[in-house]
Amino acid sequence: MSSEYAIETRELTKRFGRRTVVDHLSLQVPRGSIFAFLGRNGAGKTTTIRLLLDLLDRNSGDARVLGLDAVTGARDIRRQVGYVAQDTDLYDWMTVEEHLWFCRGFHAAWDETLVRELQRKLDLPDKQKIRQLSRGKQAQLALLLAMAYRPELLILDEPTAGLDVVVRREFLEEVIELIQQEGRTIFFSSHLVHEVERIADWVGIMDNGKLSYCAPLEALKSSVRRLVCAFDGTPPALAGIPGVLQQEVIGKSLIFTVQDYSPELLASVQQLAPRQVEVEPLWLEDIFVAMVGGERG
Amino acid sequence: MLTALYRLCWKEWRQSWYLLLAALLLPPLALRLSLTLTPDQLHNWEPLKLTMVLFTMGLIARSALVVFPAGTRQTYAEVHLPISPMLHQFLLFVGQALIATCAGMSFGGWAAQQTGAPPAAEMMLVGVVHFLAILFVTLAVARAVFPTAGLVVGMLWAFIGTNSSFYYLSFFAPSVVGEGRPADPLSGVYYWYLPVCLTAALLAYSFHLGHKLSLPRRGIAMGGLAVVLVGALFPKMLLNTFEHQNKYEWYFQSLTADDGSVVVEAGGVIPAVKPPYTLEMTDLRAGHSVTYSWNEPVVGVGMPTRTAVILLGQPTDAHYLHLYRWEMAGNVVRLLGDIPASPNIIRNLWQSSCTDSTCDHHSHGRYTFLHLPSLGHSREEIFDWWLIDSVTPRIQLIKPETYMSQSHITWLPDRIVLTGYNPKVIHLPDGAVSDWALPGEKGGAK
Amino acid sequence: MIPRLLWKEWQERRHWFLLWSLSLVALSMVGEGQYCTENYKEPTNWMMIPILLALLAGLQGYSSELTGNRAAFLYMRGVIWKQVLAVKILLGLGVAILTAVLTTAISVLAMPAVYHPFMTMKTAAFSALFVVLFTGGPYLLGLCCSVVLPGIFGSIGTLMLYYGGIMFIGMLIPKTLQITEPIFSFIGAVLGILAAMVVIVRFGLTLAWSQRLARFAAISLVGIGIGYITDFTIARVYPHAIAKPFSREVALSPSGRYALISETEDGQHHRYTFVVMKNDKRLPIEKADSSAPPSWTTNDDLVQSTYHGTYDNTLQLFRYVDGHLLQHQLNNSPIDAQCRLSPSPDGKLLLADVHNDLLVIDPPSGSVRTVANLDVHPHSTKRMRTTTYYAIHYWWQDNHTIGYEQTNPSRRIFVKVE
Repeated sequence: MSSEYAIETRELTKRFGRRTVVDHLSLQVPRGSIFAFLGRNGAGKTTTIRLLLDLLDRNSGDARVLGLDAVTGARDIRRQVGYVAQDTDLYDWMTVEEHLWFCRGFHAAWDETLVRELQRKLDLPDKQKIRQLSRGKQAQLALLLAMAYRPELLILDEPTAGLDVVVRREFLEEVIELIQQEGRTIFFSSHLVHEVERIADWVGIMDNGKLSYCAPLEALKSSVRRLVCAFDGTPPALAGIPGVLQQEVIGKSLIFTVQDYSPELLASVQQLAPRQVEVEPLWLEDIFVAMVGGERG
Repeated sequence: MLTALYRLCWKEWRQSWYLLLAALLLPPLALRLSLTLTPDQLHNWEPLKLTMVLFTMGLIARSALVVFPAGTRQTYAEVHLPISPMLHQFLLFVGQALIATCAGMSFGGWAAQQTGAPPAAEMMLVGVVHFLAILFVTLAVARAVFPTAGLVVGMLWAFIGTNSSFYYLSFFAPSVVGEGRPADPLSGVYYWYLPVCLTAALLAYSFHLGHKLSLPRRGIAMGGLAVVLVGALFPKMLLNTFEHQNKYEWYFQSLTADDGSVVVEAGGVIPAVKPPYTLEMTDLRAGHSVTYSWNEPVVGVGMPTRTAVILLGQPTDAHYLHLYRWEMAGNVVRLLGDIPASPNIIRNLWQSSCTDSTCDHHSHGRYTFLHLPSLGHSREEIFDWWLIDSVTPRIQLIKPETYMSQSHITWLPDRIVLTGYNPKVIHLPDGAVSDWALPGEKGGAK
Repeated sequence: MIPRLLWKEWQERRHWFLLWSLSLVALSMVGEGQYCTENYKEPTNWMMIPILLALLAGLQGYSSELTGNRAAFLYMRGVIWKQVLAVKILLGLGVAILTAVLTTAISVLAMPAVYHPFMTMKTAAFSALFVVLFTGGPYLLGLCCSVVLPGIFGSIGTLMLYYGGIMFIGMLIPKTLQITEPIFSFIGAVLGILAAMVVIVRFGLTLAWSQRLARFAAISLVGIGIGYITDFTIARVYPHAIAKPFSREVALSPSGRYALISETEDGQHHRYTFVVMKNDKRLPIEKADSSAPPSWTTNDDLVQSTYHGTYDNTLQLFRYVDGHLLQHQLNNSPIDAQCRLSPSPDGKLLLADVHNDLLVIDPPSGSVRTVANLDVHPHSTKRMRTTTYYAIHYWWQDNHTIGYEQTNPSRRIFVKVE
């Protein structure tokens, strides 16, 4: 396995009883990227992340984080990786100041100046007990703790779940601003696809434990198109058109989404003799729905 | 490293300081009370005992809840901090061990003062060892092999263990060691068995943290450690199991005729550990004695006549007892029959068989009444009543699975009357048992 | 709807029910379970395991409904509270009954063959009934405690509070007010906790836990209080209706013609009565010393110590003659009535060993003579140091001679009794 990737897995598998949650996952996350790890609820995203951080034992396969084995190098990984989980697991009986002080003792690379700056920016008072902070503030504190020692890799597992729109947007902007300045890698999972689109430059899509797609975002967006074909009569069946992700017939119009759009594909569609063909680019959310939720051709 | 260690200790202290202080208060409080009150007061003052048990159980429960989150949740330190999992868990256990140590010391000291024997220091050591074993074995095992339900399982064992500790420490001497043997609180089981439990638990837990056992292996490990745990909580069961393998030292409680003129005692080497088991019957009036040797240990039942004695004998692991009648005239031993019995039950009979009048006999020497440990149950106070007719001869079970609460026996020509609590009458010769009462009372006697 | 509710209850708690049931089955198979030959016997210590498991099954009875908004969810389905409660109770009792039947059958099969003549349908049925009571009762108790605080630990906490409360109430009541047979207090405690459960299930499942706890405590206390007041009233108004704690023992004479009744009331007051069995004539024995239990001689004389003051107790011989109980004092100095009294072959004299002195007692005259001292050589009149000349056996050689054996060296010594 190569160290040009921040995260690399090979045939990683995890089963719970008879159910395979992560199914022979082979994933590569390039260093310096902002990698969006998408999938529906229950696709296996959180399980994958927990496997990477040695919080779960795998059934088979390999996983490496920053070139280190996920199991044997777990302690070193934690020194270089910041992790923000969906459920904040902070010590709610501590104050903000106490929690920061507590965590500082475990990281040699702790940057106190950065911490103070972030704390001021996020408006996290020193003396307030964590259980008295709102969910949004707790999430921000968790992010601060994860970034305080300037990690090489930041792993965010649905960190904005349950937060309101404003807080979510602030959160993401802070993340981008801080990490992107130093060329670090962000790996975050979310099912809020529209937010991901604003910041990610790589996309990986999990579906039923398998990685169904992994590529740069722009490549994904440029390769997927929606075609709206109007016919005079009943629209014909789509035959010989590869990569159809989703299709539906509305009146005399046939609307379908294709992957790997090309002029050759358009020529094939023209052979169906539509009266009119419109080709539309899609937002990532629509692409996502088509890939994991639609009827496949 | 030191900084990290300091921060972890600080966290434990901040989380559990009130519990640690409460635990530290236990030993001086218990000892102060035990020195102020008499053993009788200690023994009988239920509110205090109840308070101690509830407080200690609550303390252990609460402290475990603090450090082990419920369900599958992991703590912040377990998820985020770059520390050795063993170090973190070790520190968690140190805090818990302090609490367990204090609880054990206080219970041990309390029990020592309550029962008046053995010395308080030894009892406190026993208490500490017991509580630590419970803590490590139960919580560590539960956490290692059953993470999703570990807390519930661990808590249950902690509750059970606390109660069993209180029970054992309160009744240590008779409950750990079998009947008839003096109690040594520092003997065998606490020297090797509990350290084995501790070591096994720590090894299991270390292995788990390093390798994260998969479910089938976890199940096997859990099964094995559960066996160890049961043994730790029930040392008597273990000792009783091993005791059957040990040497049996045979003693014979001497018998004397009603008029004191004939004595039956053990002869030969005493105590005997192997055959022959020799008895000597001496007629003091005539100045004459006879001896007889058996190949199996025997216990005396009674003397139906001046120069005859009824004995029970049992070969090793046999499911019956031999009933013998030994006549001085001619030095003759007659086997009257076999009585179904649990294997090696004779080892429990030597002390109790003839220390009260309920092992008496009919004045004409025909009938013998026995109450033997129940065939169907191992419970100590449950007996089977047997009636033996040495003339017929007939061995008859007349009342199974019953208490022996009667303290006085009267032999009449046609019945045997057992008086005391819940008086009964045994009709002869059929052996029918019925209630007995004085004339004029319900069930009036004749 | 009921079948669905039953299915839900079973799915939620089947592990505990199965553990309860299987542990009882296992005990029956190894002979540590119930007794099928007698009507009643206290359960063995091993029975604590299924009892505890039944309790735990009950303690989780309402845990599900108290978690989150499940109570509201359930009631929104059109289920009424009576149905939910009935299902929870019936399921537990059903498990108890089925298990009892199974374990009774196993116990009968596992029983030693010699016990079979003593087992009847009635004894087996009673045995099963007691198993149902000993497991079903704790299940109901656990169910009652499960309606207050959520989760198993909440239920355990409630149980401990209830148990602790009862213990403290019972022990803090002044001794003068204590009732000897607190039957109604017990009934009140049981009914109180049942009533508390019903009230909370009916009105309070969706309330805050503190409110549920307050109601539970109040209703339970009311039940206990009513029961206690009832017991107290009965004890004061009808003191004879409630038996005072006392112990009673009867000892028959060797021939069966007479009996001695020893009664102790409240652990302090002792009473001895001589009974003539033939005509039930009862004659009290005054000032009997309870510290020295009486004994019968082989010719139906009763020897009993009587108490006249501190260090002033004497040995008395009681003999029933012509309708009267004659009394002879046997000594002027204290004698332990537990010493073995051995009559001479003709029955006229008694031989006793008291503090290593061999005494001969003449009951008609009451004279007591020391005929031998077992510490020293019989011809010596002086007491020497404790020696190894310790005699352990003594007997009547004939009507006028006693014998005793000395060990080390072993020899028999005979003494004429004048």
